Amino acid sequence: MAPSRGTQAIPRDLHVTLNSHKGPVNVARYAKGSAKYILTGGQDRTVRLWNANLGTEIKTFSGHGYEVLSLTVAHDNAKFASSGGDRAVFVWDVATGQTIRRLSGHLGKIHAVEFNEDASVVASGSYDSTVRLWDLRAQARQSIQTLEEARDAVQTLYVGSTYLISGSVDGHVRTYDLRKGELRSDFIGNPVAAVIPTLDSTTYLATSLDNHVRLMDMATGKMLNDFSGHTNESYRCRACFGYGEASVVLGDEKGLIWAWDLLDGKVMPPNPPPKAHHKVITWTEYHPIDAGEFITCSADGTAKVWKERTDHAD
Amino acid sequence: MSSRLKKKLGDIGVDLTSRRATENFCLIGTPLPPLEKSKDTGEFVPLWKQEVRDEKGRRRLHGAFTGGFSAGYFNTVGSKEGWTPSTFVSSRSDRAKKPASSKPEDFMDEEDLRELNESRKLVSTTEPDSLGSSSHPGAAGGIGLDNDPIAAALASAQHKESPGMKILKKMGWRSGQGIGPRVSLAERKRQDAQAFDPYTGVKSSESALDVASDDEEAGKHKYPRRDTPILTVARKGKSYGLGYTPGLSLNESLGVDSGQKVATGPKISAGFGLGALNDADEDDIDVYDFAATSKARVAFDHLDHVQDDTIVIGKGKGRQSKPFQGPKGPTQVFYDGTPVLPGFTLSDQPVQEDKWYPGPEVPPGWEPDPRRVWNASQSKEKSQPPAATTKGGRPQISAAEVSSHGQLREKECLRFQQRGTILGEESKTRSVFEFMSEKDRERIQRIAAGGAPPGPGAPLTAPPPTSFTMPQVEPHIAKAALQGFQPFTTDPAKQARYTTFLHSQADPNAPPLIPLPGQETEKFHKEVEDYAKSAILFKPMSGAMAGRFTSAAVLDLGPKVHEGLHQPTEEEYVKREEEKRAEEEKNVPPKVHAAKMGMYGPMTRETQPWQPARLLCKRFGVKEPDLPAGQDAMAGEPSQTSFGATSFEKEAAEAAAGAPGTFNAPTESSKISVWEKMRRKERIF
Repeated sequence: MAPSRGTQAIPRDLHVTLNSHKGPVNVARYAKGSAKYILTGGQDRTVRLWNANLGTEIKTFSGHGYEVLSLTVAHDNAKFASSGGDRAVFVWDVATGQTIRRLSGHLGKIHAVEFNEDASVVASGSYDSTVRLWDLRAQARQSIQTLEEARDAVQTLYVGSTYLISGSVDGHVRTYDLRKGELRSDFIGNPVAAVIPTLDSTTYLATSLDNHVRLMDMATGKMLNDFSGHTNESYRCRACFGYGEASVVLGDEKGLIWAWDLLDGKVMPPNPPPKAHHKVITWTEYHPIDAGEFITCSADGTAKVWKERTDHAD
Repeated sequence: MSSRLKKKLGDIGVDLTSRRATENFCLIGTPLPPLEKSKDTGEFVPLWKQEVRDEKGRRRLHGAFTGGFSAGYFNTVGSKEGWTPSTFVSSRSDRAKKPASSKPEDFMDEEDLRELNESRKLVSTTEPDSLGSSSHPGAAGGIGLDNDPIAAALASAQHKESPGMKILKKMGWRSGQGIGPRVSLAERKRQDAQAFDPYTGVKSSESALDVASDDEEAGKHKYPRRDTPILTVARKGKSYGLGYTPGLSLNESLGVDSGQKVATGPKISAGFGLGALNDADEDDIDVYDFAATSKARVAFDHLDHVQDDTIVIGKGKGRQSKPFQGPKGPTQVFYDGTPVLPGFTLSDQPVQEDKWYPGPEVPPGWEPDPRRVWNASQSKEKSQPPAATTKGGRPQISAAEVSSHGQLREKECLRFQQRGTILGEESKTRSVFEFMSEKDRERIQRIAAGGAPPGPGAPLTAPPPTSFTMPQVEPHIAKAALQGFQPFTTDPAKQARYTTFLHSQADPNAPPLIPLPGQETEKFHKEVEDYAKSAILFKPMSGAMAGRFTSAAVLDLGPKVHEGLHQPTEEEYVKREEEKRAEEEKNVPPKVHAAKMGMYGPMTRETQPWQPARLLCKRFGVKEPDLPAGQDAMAGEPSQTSFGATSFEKEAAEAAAGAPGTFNAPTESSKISVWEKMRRKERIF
């Protein structure tokens, strides 16, 4: 493979630290749109809204009885959904801070929630190995559909415009194609911690607990690239695409943030990367628009915003 | 004014008639009613005066004392005719509805309600007044929110406020202040100086006003009083007396100190005490404390023995510091060195020994002769001349004499039967023989007669050990025994000999069993006997009886239990591991192998049809995929087709469903396999 030219290195400068959480921070998501805000969910059962640039906490949402494991923001930034040990999906109104709805039906803690494009459906993947799809327009208590193909806990979800991807501890990545009425399941081999497709929906990135991140072809199920060097054997770590999907960024178990070139598969310098967090990094998310920003949150109780420092240029 | 008071005042000399004697001090409000003057003198009150009415004028106490049941008619219930119970209305269908009267208030009449309202209090009396504790801000530490200052502020306000505190606060009081009108600075300072801790009595400077005494400006203002600390005495929960401290060892509770000696004053007898200014004089000193009470104390008559010899039981207190050594001085010791117990003294006189009396004097040459005794009892009936004693020896008493004497004795004594007849009892002469069966009786008789006991019916002869005859086993028994269970499984040689013996018995021509070389005759004989017995035992049941029984099939299905400590060997482990691995290998699907090798692709990809819910498709804005019923039925089979082939298959299905005449009816399509379809497709194009 030809060596990449000019792939931007990921920002390594700490912009701001968000450390109000008591206990591990399990998830940190960017808001939609211009993504000026960050939502974090922690082991302390709270969800906090922050200003990404200033690093100030804006609001705290309490209501969960158990830890918060996953968050998803609606497209209009007015609502978000959170899930955790309560076995229910909480849908919140951002402005008032109140829970709008509580969707229960799962039998185990919910590891992943995702809204669909217009936030009319929320999908939740749980320890009970099912994925449930809930309708937010109607007031029905039951889920629209339950996907029971997984044999073990569902750790990650992605909801696209016409398909759903779920990754499970049984080692399979299952793509539910609504248009085709098809279920394609790829056996990765080891428990799948995170799944992210590319924007053109031809390939997806699967993080698995064997210290590998694989780029898989959605059509054939073949592996296109393999990224390794990091440590990820026990925790749910998330690999995401960097700016322009030219790189792959992952915060691993040891607290290091790795970056690979997407085409090469080679680790981008610095290698080995400096230690960013004291404990396992539970979530890594790149800014949807900005080239030089991403966030990580960790079990050490902090979420860090990494940004390219612009005053360096002098 | 009560009559008694009047009398007393009159005795003193107060002028009862003046207005001042009966002055009413109540300036505001109504005075309390005078105390009860009326005592029950037992005076006769006529019945009409004893009528009781309530405030409404209704009569009370209708029939309780005069008899008659009115069922509440006179007041609130029912009618004169009686009270009809309400008709039963089934609530089976209306069970969810709360019954019309489920609260106790529904069943109460006005009297009950009045009583209820009276007992309701505006202010709860049971909740503790936390006037003292509310001033304690440190309680916020109990809540775990340490870094949040707001949480701390919230926590401090958490304490329950009694209504009294609320009222005080409304009037301007703050917790920590005393109650009462404000005082000047000097007064407050004085109060602070005089304050002391009620628990310890020590001067305390807590919550003293933090203002300098000579501050001019400060002196112009008034300050709240100092709060009086509330002394809460904990209840003594246990039921032991004052002065008792639980958990002390015996020594400690007695006051015994192992090392130290506390200076004690004169030991006053228990139960008495001395004031601060009194001394223990002669009367107070403990009479039983022996250290104090020396000879001079005792008021008794002078005893005969020296006092030192008496065993003294000292008081517990007295034992404290080796109180009574005795006039002899040091602790006494027994003859073997063991010290005398404290409180005891050795006595001079030895313990009284048992008196030993010498036996009777035996005249020389006397020999014991039982006959004398025997004959003495018979002397009334017969007078037998005493047997002549042999010279120089004891009289020889023959066995006959003994037995005859015994018999005589027997005859003399009353037998139980005789006693029975004397008493007039029914004599059912029951003998043991009645309980035995006829057969056994015969046997016993035979034995008593001295005959040999016959065998248990089997033709087995057990010759006496002395004679040397081969025990015989009847041929048919021997033959049957040969077919039955062969004993002596552990010793095949013996079993062989057993078989030979049986053969010899069964077939008169067969060679007899000969003793082994070196086997003694007795042993051989015993052996043969054993064989004979075994033959009888193990001869299988014949004929009809055999049909009723089946021998148990000994199936050793259980696991072989190896006794003793399980000592697995290395090979065992290795073998087991290998077996396990082999099993696992068999079960592993191919995709796992593929994944392990990194060959992701057709081997790891599985495609199945999946039907999304209609509502789901609607929400996503996606046209529902139309999967014909046939496809659905095949949903279970994962077809190992790649992406391209899937569309192929779909087209085939569509074609199969769409074109009516060309292919089989769609109803059969469920049974047609994918390959069929593909082939069909190939056929077309």
